[in-house]
Amino acid sequence: MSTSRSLPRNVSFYNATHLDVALGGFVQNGSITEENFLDILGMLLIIEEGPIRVQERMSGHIVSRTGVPLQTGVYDIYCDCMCFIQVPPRYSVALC
Amino acid sequence: MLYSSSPQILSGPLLILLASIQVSNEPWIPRLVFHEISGRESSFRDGIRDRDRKCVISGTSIPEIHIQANNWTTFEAAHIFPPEHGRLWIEHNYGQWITDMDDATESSKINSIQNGFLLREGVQQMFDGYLISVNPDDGYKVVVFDTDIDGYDGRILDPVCRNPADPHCVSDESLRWHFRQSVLANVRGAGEPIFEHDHPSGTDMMDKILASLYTQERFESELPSRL
Repeated sequence: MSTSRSLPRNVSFYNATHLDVALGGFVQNGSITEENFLDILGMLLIIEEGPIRVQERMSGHIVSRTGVPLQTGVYDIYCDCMCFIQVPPRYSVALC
Repeated sequence: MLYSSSPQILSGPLLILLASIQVSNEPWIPRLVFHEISGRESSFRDGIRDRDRKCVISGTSIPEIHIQANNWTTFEAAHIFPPEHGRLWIEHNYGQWITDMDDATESSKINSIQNGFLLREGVQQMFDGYLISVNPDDGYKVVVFDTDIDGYDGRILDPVCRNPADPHCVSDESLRWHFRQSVLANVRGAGEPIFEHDHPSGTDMMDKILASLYTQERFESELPSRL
């Protein structure tokens, strides 16, 4: 008989393009920083292209490489491999 | 820099999601929660006791009078990389992590003091189950991956076992391996199973293993401890 590691989780994360199934999650007891979270995602995720953006769903807070304790919640992961910025009319430029 | 071929007016910055995200399928290595010590590992146990003399995660010290009486009840010398996975240890040449046993065979290096530390029994159960780990790349911070009922989360691994001037100091690579396994076990998907450790007397462990997940891996790791 085995028991589950997922029941006590208070952090979960999703692919922003597939919000129906969580990619994973964990128990945040207070020691995991935002930088730790990004390192953990680096161990687990295979990203085909570009950097990722990790954003808390309710607050919109974007996770960054800081020693700030990670807030509990639901995080969505975006791959910003192509970013369009506004330029004068008739042209749009994509930065990779 | 890429340029869009179709003229368009954008009202503001726009993010387009093109790349896909996949979760790694890196194998997770389950381990035995209980492991009986054999004669060849007594030097491991004694060396660990002599170096640490306390639980290096909880910080609980052993009274000097207990040490003099050779009473180490509730303290265990725990392997960081599990000895029951000696085949993996050799396949991946993890013996290179060990620097205090130059003349030893690769397989025996798994019992180097550098691949272990002293823990209280309860902490060892959590450590063997990957429910608690140490991140050597973040100041040796202790991370509890379960509800932290004992208040260990955020502690720092006691310096007594990681003094760089000590040739027998704990291996950062072993700790890094364990931390990665803990992430795989606890964070990926729904997480890996937690195996029962408290079996009533008379329980046939082999039957239990054969009826559980990771049957082959657990069977292979259980077998050597019975030989």
